[in-house]
Amino acid sequence: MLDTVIDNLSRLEDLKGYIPSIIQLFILIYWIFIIRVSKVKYQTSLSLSLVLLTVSIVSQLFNFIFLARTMAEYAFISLGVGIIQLITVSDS
Amino acid sequence: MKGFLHIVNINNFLSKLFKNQLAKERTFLIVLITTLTTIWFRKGLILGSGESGLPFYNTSRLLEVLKNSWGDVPIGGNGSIAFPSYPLYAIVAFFQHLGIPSFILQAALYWFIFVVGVLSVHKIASLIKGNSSLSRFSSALFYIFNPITHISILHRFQYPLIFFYAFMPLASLIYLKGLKSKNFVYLIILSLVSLIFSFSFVGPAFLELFFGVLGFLSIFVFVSTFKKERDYFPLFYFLAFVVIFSLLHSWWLMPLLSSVFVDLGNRGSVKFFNPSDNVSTFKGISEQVESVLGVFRLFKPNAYPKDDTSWVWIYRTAPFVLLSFFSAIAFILGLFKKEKELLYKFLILVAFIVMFWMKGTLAPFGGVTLRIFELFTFLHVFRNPFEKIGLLLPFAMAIPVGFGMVMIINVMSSKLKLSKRIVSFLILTIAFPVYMFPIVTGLAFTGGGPPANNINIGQYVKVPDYYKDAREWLDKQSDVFRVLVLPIDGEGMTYKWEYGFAGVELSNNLFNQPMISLSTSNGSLPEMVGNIKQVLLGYPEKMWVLAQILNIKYIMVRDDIDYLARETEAPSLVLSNVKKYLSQHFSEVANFGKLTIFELNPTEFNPKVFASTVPIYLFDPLGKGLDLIPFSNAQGKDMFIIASKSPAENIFIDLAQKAVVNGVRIENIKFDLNNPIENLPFVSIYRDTPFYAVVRLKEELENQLQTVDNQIAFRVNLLGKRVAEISHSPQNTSAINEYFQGIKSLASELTGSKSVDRAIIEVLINQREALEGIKKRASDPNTIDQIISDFNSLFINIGAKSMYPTEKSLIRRFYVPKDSQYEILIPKQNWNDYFEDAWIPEFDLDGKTIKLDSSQQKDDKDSFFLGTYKLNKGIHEVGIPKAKAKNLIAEKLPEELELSTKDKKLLTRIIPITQLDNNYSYGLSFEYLEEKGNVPVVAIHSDVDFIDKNGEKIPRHGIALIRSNYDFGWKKYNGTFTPFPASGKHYISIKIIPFGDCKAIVPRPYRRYCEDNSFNQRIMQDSSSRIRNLRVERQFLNPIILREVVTAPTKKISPKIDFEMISPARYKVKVTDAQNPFFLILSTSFDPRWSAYFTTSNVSDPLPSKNHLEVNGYANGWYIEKSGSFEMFLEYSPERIFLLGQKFALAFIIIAILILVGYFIRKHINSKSRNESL
Repeated sequence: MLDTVIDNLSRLEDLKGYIPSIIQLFILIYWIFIIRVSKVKYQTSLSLSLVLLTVSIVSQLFNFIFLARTMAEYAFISLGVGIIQLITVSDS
Repeated sequence: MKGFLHIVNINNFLSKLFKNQLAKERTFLIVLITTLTTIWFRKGLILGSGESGLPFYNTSRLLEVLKNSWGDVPIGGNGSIAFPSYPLYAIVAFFQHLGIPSFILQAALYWFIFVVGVLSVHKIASLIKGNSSLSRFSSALFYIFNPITHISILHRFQYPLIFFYAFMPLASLIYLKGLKSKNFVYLIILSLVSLIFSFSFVGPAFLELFFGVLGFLSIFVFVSTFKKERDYFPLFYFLAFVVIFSLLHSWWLMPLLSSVFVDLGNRGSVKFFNPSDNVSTFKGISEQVESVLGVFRLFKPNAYPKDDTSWVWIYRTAPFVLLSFFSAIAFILGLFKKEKELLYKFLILVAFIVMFWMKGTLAPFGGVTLRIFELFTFLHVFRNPFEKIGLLLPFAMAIPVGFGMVMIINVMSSKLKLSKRIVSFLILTIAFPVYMFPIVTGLAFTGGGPPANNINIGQYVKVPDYYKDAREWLDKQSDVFRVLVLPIDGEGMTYKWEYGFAGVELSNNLFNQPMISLSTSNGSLPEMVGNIKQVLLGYPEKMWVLAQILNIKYIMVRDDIDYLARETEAPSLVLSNVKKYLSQHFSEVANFGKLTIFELNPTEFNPKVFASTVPIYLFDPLGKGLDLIPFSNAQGKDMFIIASKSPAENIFIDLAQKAVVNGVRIENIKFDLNNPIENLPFVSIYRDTPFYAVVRLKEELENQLQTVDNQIAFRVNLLGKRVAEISHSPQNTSAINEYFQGIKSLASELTGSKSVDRAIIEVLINQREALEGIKKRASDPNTIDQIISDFNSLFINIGAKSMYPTEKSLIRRFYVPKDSQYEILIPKQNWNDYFEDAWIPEFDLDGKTIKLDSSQQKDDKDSFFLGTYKLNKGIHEVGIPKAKAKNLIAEKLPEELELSTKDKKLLTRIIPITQLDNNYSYGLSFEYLEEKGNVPVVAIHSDVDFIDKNGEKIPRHGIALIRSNYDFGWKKYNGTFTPFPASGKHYISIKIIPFGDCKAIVPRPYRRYCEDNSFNQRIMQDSSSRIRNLRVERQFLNPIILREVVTAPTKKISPKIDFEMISPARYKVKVTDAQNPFFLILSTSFDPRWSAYFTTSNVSDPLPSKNHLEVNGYANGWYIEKSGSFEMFLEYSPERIFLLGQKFALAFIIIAILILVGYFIRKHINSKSRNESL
């Protein structure tokens, strides 16, 4: 019985490929929640995106490929959030 | 005086022009584009590469192919997908006819494309609030100088992409203007303009993208304004555009849609549209992007490959890495712009959506993209989203980038306290022309493999003059015919001209006749080309039969191709073989530079339309009936019907003069099973335990999660568990019954599949043996007996067991179509060079051994004859004993080869192999003993191996031997290889490498010394091994063929056929003196939409579809039962839709022009009357 349970649990490892996406989805939902509640402006998201992209560029220059890619991914999310805010929220 | 006035007017015009800032900028941009175009075409040569071929060379030929719904290139096919390219080809061909050099026409096209695209972007930039000269100019410069323009527009030569690049900004501009002014006239203007850019719509991706963007613009405007205005106009406007566009483009839309939606079984484009393949391609291409960084930088990491051209290294330097992010940063900064009207927001949103798609399945949220892609098959045209959808990115980003640049320049200017003009000049120069220096210098047209990676050649192409001479010579020859071009390979070709070409094979562009020169995944072409190669290599004397069925009149051998790059036969070898073996039927008639032309004997040439009364049936269950042609004893101008299904389904079998039947390989799989029950999967929870149900549930869930490829193997493994359960409780009848049902359902699936994995068969054999062992202990031995009997039937059905008992090693099974006398023949395939036995002493026919003595054995050059036998309709088997193979090692070797390194230096032993025929497979076997250190590295080299940077040959066949920690004795290696097509000489190399890994052995602080050879030597030790019984043998896989003996040859006379080719889609045929029913053959690819009529036009009903069949492996044949003399009309039926579409479109284009003219006249009158009233 225990073997079967362990066997089945070990199969969860197959899901590890989805973990980055799950984390990103969680961050996105959390972020939107903060934005909606604390009224963070789109400029903040875009600025964050710029900062993250800068970190990514610096990492790329020093050949820290993993860091460069991860930062670029988060810069992309920030950019997306900023653009959605920009489109949906008025300039005021 | 007049001249003076003229000058004054020009001066006025110029002064007016340069007072207007926008006009100044446009003029500068046009001058810039003109300069760039001049640099690109400075060599006075056309440019070309890749899939688009050379559309600026002999364009009239490309135009000719598009004039009908059926193109006869190379063996015929529906050409509707390429119709939108017609306007470009028509314009280019017209100017070529006037004598304007092709390179000027190509330069003019590039100039036009860039002027339209860049000025449209500039215009859109000027519509945005807060725009300035600097922002507009930056946007326009970005549109010219960015990696997507560099790679997709300039380097790839994909004309749909090039046209789309210019058209999308212009179309958006016109569409937006109409949308704003609520004026439908703009839709008419846009639709008319789109005719010029119709090349964009070759392939559905850009059609979808075009309507996607304009539709999204309408929806965006509708949603954004709905709260305030409640206006549905944007939606109606889009629908109106779809209608007007469709009417004006009906000349290509009608035939295209008619061919997409028609059910052609496995013949249409649907055959190549495989959703699961598309998904895996989508994933694969996404992975090439590596990360979202590629999207921010606008190029994939492999866009500038390390070892390609001499300049790509620059893009890996720090300044260029920094510059690669410049546009992304400018874009994000541009989003901070204060006033953001609707158009600006729209472009930003489009840019982000495009970025999201470009990264494909990569994080973040790649899973979402993948799911959407899987759900909506219309998105499958974007399997390469980085290239296809990514083309929109420069357009969508350009305006925000312009504003971002202004912000950067303002900040830099104030921080550095420099004049804004100087900062602007510096930043714009560095961020655009300097960063994209390949566009400025023309280096964009270099790279991507030979010959383009030589920067002195690049993608410039100069077709040698001898092609023109050969083309003109062929044009002068009579008859409708095809030309076979050798060497023949796949879809692409590399030409070794002064300025060469690498890309799609060009012969059908270089010449005006259909040239069989390539193999694409188009209809029967791959099988046909495969067969041509096989006949040329194995039975060249029979090439004339293929020439007859393919309407080939000439064979052209070309000696100007890079055969090593294309991995095909050497032209010199092909030329000598054609001269040597084909001379009886083909004679050399012309020579142009590196082209040699051979003509089929005029009496043997078969016209494109001909008649035959008695077909030869070629039966092959694997569908490769063409392989049987060399053994068919064809007499000339024959017709073949290839059948793979049950003979009962072939309604013309009784008309056949003979049948030739190919055998399917059967293997009596046997292997040693010491303990079959121990080999079963391990089971810990049995049926009588409480958690058994949970285990079964788990198994079922796992089964559901298996991929299609793994499912059968997984189920076979589960059945193994059931056998283990039976073994544990042999009295439990439910386990036996469940297994019985399971194996029945598996058997029906396996019997239906084309081939079964050998590993699965071995597992099933083990299960059968295990059941044999359990039978004595079981409560229900009868059911087990039944299972074993079902197993045997299954093994027979899947070719793992012969139907009749035989011990022979080469067994073939035949499905004989009718009761008759059949000769059994075995193709020799250069037998004497490879086998020691001079003939086959005995064989088994349906399990009975028949002995042959040498007096009985008659054979010819090509085959052994095992006699003639009466065989009834049904299944038969022939088995022959394994022939003793010759060892093809060309050196006398000692009994044991002692191989050891000396002084810790690598040892290489070269062993030559005799000449190998490249179209057979060979076995390599030896025994080896590892004495000390590393095991040998064995490789098979040839004279055409690639050579790496260090001068080392890279073998095409390398063997990885395994070290064993269990067995220290002699081990056996057995493997197979097929020689590379162009290779001549082969040899085996055995390398022994000294033992030891310095870096793994020494402590970390000393590892740096490992680079020092003298230190490294201290660590290494000598290796030694022995090799014996080294053999290279040809595999004994000769086919066995049954050929029906014609006892009384049929003397049915074929009618005389005269025909007139009205177009490749229509033929008038005159049949004279038809005495018997006959087959009328049209030698162009079979398509069910070809129709035959008993008139000279298409007014009557066509012949029923049961009379229309595929013949000769690719062509159309009609069974005609009418006698006497009469006329017929053959037509590809979509031709009517094609012609109707042309008329339809022409009428609507005229109406659209008239409406437009009327509109502008009315507008002019109105403005005039308004002025007068004022």
